Amino acid sequence: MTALAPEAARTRARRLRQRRARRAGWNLVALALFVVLVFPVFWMISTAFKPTDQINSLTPTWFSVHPTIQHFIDAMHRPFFWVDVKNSLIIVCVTVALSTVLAFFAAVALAKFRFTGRKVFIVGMIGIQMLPQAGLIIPLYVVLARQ
Amino acid sequence: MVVGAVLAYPLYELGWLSLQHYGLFELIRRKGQWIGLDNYGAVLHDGVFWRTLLRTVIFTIANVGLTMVLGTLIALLMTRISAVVRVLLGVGLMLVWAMPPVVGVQVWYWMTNYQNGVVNYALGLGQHDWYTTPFAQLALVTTLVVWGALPFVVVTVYAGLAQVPGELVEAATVDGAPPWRVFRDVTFPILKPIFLILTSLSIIWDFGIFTQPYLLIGKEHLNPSNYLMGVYLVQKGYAESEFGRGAAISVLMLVMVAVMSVFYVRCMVKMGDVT
Repeated sequence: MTALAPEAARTRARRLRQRRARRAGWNLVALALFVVLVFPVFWMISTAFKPTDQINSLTPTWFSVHPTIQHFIDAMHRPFFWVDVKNSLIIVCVTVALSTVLAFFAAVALAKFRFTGRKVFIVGMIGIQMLPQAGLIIPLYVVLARQ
Repeated sequence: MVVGAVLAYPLYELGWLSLQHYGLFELIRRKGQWIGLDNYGAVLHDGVFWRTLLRTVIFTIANVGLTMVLGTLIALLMTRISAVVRVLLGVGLMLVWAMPPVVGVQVWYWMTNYQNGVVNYALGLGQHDWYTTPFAQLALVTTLVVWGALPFVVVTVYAGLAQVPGELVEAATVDGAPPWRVFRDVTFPILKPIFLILTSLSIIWDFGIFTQPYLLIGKEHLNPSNYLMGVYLVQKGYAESEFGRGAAISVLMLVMVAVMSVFYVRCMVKMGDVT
C-alpha cells in the first residue's frame, strides 16, 4: 500500500500533464479558426476606416495608421441615404409586427385545436420554406404590377 | 385559416402563372394567355436547365456536406477548449452570423480582387485572377456560403452536444472506445434529429441560393456555364421577362426540394403529432 502510493501519484500527475497539453493544442486550433472566421469581418471594418489611397494600393494595409471617418460622412451625405434607412426601418417594423401576430395565431391554432387539415397546414408551412425566394418574387411582382 | 390563406395565395398565384404565357405585353394587358403545360415543356426541353440542375445538385451536396462536417467538427472542438477561448470563438461566430449576405459578398469580392486583393497578397500569388473558370467561381461562392452557414450549424450542434449525457461518453471511453467510435455509436445517434433537421434546412437553402452566386460572380460574368438554379430562374423569368416560364421553373424547383426533404417533412409531422 505505502509502496504503491507514490507510483499512483506519479501516474496521475502524468495524466494531468497530458490532458493539459492536449487542451492547449485544441485551444491553439480554436484560435487559428477564430482568426480565419473573423478575418472578413475585420477586413470590412478596417477597410471602412482606411483612406482611399490605402484601399487601392497594391500592398494591403492591415491597420491604418491614419484612420479616417471620411467614408462614413460621405455615406451619410449621399442623397437618399436617410430615405433608405427610413425604408428599411419601416419594413423591419411592419414585418416583425405582422409575422409575430400571424405566427402567434398560427401557433395557438396548431397547439390548441385539432382541426381538419392540420397536417396539411404543417406540411404547407414547411413547403413554403422550400420555395426559392427568387421564385416567390415573380408572382408577387406580377400581382403588384397588375393593380 | 386566415394564416393559411395568406400563405397559400402566392403559391396559388405561382401555379396559375406557370400555366400561362405571361410576358411584358401580358403584364401591361393585365391578363395572361392560357397555354397549359407549354411552359413546363419548354423548360424540360432546355439543355441549359438540365446542365444547371446537375451543377446545382453537385453544388448543394458540396456545400451541405462541407457545412455539416466543418460545423460538427467545430462544435466538438468547442467542447474541448478552455472557457475563455470558447467565448472568443462564440463571439467570432456571432460576428459572422451578423453579416448580411450582400455585405459578405462585397467583402469577399474585395479580398479576392485580382489587382490588390488581400488573399493574393497573403498567399503570394501576385495577380492571380480567381474568377476565370466556372469551377473557380463556384468554389468561391461555396467558401462564402459555407462561411456564412457555419455559425448556425455550430451553435445548434453545440447546444445539442450539451444534451448528451456525460456518463455515456465516459462509459464508452473507459471501455476503450477510440474518440471517433464514441462519436459514431454514442453521440451521433442521440443528435440524429438535430442533424436531420440541419441537413434538410441546409439543402433547402443551398439549392435555391441566389444572392451569393448572382452578386459574387457578377452580372457580366454570368453565363449558362456557371448558372445555379436560383440564378437560372431569375435570368429566365426576369431578365427575359418570361414570368410564366419563371413560375414554371419555381414550381419544378419546389417539387425537387420537396422530394429531397421528404424525410424531414415526415419527421416534423411525427413531432407535430406527439405534442
